[in-house]
Formats: sequence, structure tokens, C-alpha cells
Amino acid sequence: MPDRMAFEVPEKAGTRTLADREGLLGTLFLLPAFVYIITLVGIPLVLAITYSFSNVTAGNTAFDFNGLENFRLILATPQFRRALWDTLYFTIVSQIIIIILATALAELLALDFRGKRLARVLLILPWATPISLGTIGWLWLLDSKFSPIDWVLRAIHLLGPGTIFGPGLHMNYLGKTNLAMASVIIVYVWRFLPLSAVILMAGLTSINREILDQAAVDGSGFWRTLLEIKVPLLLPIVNVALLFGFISMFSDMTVIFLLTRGGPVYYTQVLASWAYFKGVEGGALGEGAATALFLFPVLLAGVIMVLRSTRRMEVT
Amino acid sequence: MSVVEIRGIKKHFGDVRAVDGVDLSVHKGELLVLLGPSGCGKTTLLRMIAGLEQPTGGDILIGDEVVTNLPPRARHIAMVFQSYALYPHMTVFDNIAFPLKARGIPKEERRAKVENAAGLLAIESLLHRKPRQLSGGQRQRVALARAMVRSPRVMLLDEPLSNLDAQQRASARDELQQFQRQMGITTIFVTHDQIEAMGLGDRIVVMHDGQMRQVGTPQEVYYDSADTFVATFLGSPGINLVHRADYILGFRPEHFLPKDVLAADEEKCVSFTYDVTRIEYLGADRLLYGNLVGIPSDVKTMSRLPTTVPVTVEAGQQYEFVIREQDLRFFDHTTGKRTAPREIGE
Repeated sequence: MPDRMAFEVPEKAGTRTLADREGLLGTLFLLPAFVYIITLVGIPLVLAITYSFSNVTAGNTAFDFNGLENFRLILATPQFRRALWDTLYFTIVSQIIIIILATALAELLALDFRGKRLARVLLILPWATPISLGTIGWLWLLDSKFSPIDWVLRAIHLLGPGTIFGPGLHMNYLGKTNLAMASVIIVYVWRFLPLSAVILMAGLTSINREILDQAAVDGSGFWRTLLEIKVPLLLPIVNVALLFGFISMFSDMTVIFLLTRGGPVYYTQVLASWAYFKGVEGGALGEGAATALFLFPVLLAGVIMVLRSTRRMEVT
Repeated sequence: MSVVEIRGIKKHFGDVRAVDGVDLSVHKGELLVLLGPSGCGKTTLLRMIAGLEQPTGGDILIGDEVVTNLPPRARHIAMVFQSYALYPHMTVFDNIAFPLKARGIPKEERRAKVENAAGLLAIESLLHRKPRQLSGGQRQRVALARAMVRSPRVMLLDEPLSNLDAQQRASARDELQQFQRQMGITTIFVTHDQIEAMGLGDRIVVMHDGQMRQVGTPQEVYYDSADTFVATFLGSPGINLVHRADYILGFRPEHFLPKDVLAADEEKCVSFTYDVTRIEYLGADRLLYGNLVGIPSDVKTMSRLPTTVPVTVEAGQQYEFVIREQDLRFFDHTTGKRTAPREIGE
């Protein structure tokens, strides 16, 4: 018989420590994030909103409320209208290409093959490298004189006298309006594709395996399963990918700033870069703030709409 | 005539032999149950029949045609998964119509077939709902309607009742069997629940460690178990196994009864002195735990005594319990296989 007395029964209850006080802990842990957001996001945003309704410039910080004057002014300039159009154009075209490629990539990386891990690492690289470094790499690739792409084109006789891209020896990607716009889109796709692909990959693996097996037994082939089962089930995730894509592209100015500086002339200007050139380099703080904030209400409405519809779809 | 024939099928995942040489033929119109503990290879076997898993060796024939290397869609079979796998973004109608659409059946014909299938399963009123608006039982019916709508050669069911609660399960089992009889669809049903297997199956295949241990009607596998594994796996509680010098004696708890209860019969009985240590009252039955006096054992010997039998039994007392000789089973000491009856000497 085991000795019963070996199991000693405690007579008094224990005490409560800091780790048990969830309310206090919650406040404590959230505090740093809260301070960070208020000082580095909240205050600048409020400042930008106030500036956009005032006549503040870099040379004159005296604050005078001037209503919608800044917005009227920027709307009157062709550069702004071009930047607004380009922002939408670049973002929408890039995101369409990105979503299609990301779906294909996610599908590909879901397969089992040798070197799958390496492929995943390579995929994420454009997103992991600093954007300025990546863009500088592209700057050289697209250089007007030393572009390696030109070498290749010349080597396979697509560029040069008497060829389809000829007769010049250089494409001058960033110097011609259409080529510059295409270049910007390619760099954007290169840069933002990994994020979407990873999001979609996660979505794809979260689809119940039995649903896909069921489709196979029900006689569905590759395309039917993709278009009628996977894509509809991925829609909420695609929405999230698009949301992230749109927001990061709308707010990005590095690619334009390093690649084309808005040129040739101002044909690849986007709102973020134009706000910088106008507000910071040009010193017109009010107009710069108005430019930067121009799409803010639209974006906010978009974000709310996408998040709501995503939540509705998740219930399925 | 056999609809599905399995010849020496094997599936190895690395060193693990999930299915290790199974031969089986499934008759037309029957409901065959694959029964075994989890990890015994029953689901892998089913998935190989469906074409979702490629066998390591062996062949599968459906309707006298070798389908081993055909993809699932070319096999003309239907499958119902454990989760029912209803397409969450489609209405019930579109769910049922999907296999027809995948086979390119024209729209009008599709509608007629879906409505017909829905009628058979009494789900016409649900056709415009989404799966999330359905109860567990309704989901099962939708999954069945989707499975039968294109008249499959075989219907494969992978534990379709395990998502239902205990009460729904009994009625779902009844509905399922009626439906299968009525349609006459050859069906293979996978389960780990022996009650389900006994209640549903025309024949039961008992599997263990990737191998088939016995194939037979529910009565055969229960009363004439081929080995000690089958005998202990079936029945709740399982068979009593008493290890003797060179054999194993088996008898079911419901056959192990007080002498007074069986005394009226003229049949030959074997008797033991039974030391009852504990009694569980289960409503309809009393479950007795105890030891056979004079026969040391690690495992308690059990008796299942209906409460309707007017005998008083108390824990801590010894009684004389008997088993009819015809209810005794003998198994080989080393292999566990069933052997011929023998004299029981003390």
C-alpha cells in the first residue's frame, strides 16, 4: 500500500502576483506601442491635416487658416493631375499583374519539388532587401548607356540598326514616357509581388484539404478546381493582399524618387513623390500636405469597405 | 459479381507500411465496412480506391477494369468525407450540381437530376441555402445527394457520422442504411466505431496495422472472430481472454453469467468461481469486474448482466459463474489465431 500521508494537502490558498493581474498587464504592455503611434503617426497626421488647410510654407511658419485654397491650387496644376492619374494607373495595373502572378506562384510553391525551400527564400528576397538598394539595382539595369538588358537585346539581334527595336543602340528605358512608365510598373511588381504571393500561399494552405480532394473525386480538373473552388475560397485573402498592396504602393515614393525622379518631365510622378517635391523640396508645406492627403478619405473608405466585406466572407 | 476488386494493394510512407498487402472484393450493391483502430490503414485504403493516393504496389479494379493509374475523375466513383467537404461558397443546389457540371452535363438535365436527388433525401427546401446555414444532419444529406446524383459505380464514405452528436448519429445511421438499400449503390464505409460497423455493414473488414484480419458478416466477426485482435476489438466491453498453459480461452462478458441464470438449460457448461470486485450500474446492464479464483491474470474478467435478470450480486463476494460450452472460443497461445475447441482441464 502506498503511504497516504506522502501526499500533503496544502491548507491555505496562495497569493496573487503581478502576472495574474491581466488588466494591469494589458495596459503596461500596450503603453510603448501607444506612445509610438501617437508621437510618430498621430501627431504628424494631425499636423499634415492642419497644414493642408493653411498657408504655411518652409519660409513662413505663421499659421493662417485658408480653407480649401491649397486643394484648389493643387488641382489647378497639370503636374498634380498627372500624378493623381499615374498613382491610380501604376497601382491598379501593378496590382492586377501582381495578383495573377502571385496566385500562380502560390500554386507553384504549394507543390512538392526539390529546392522548394530555396525557391521560397528567393521569392521573398525583393521584399526583404531595402527598397532603395533594390531600386538602385534596377537603376543600373535600366541605365541609358550601360543597361545589361540592352546588351542582351543587342546580342540576340533585337536591338541595333535593322532590328525591331533598332536603329539606336540603347533603349533609354527611363528617358521615354511609355518605357519609363512600364519600367516603373515592372519595378513595382518586382517589389510587391513577394508580399502578395506569401499572403496567397498562406490562404491556399488554409483551404481544407478535403474540399480539394472532394473536387478531384467529383471530376473537377485543374482549371475548374482553380477557378471555381480555389479562387472563390481565396477571395477574402486576395482582398487582404490587395489592401496591403494598394496602401503600400500609394504611400511609396522611394521607387519613383530613385528611378525617375518623376521624369521624363513629370510623366511618372505619383502623389507621394509630388508631395515631397512640392512640399519639402519646393517649400510649399501647405500644398504638399494637401497633395499627400488628397487620397486619404478615399483610401480610408476603401480600407473600411474591404475589411468589412472580408469579415462577411470569412463566416463561410 | 464484384464491383471493386483489390489485389495485393500496398502503400508505404517511407518505413511506415500504412497498407500492407490487402486483397478484397466488394460485391454489387453491398455495404462493406472497413473497421479498425486509428492508424490501421483503412482511410489510406479508401483513398487509394478513390485515386487520391497512389499505391506502392498492387492493383485496383473497378467494374473489371484496372484503374490503378487513373486519376480520381476518371474512376466514376463518389466519396463523402468526414467533414462532408461541402463547397462553402456554393448553394446546396450548386454543390449537388458540381459533379454533373464537371462531367459536362447540360443545364436542364442537371437541374432535373439535382431536384430528383434532393427529393430522395428530402432536402428540396434547402436548395438555396449555403452550407453554413445547415445542421450536421442536413449537411450529411447534401453530401449524400452530391455523391449519388451522378450514379456512381461505388460510393466511398469516410467516417461520415463522426461529426454528429450521439443522438443524431443513431438516426443518421438508420437513414443512411435505408438510403443505401433503396438505391442499391455499392458502398464502402470506413469507421473506427464498432457499433456503427455492426449496425450498418453487410460485411465487415477488420483491419489492423495495414493488414486485413478478418472479413465476414457482423455475426461472423463477432461470434467467430478469427483471432484475439478481432475478438477484443469488437464488443463493448471486449471479449474476456484467459491465458492457460498453451492456449487462450475466450468468452464474451454477456455469456459469463451466474449459475442460477443458466441452470435451467440442459446444455453443457464450464464453471468458475468468480470473485466480484466492482459493479457498474449502466441502466440496462450491470457490468461486473472481478477475478477467476485460482487463475491469476493481469486483466479483470468481466460479466455483463442484464438488470432484468433477478439475481443479486454484490462486490466483495464470490459466486459460481458459468459459460455454455458453445460460447467458449479458443485461440493459439502464440499467434492469437482461432483454434479448434479442446477439453478444459484444470
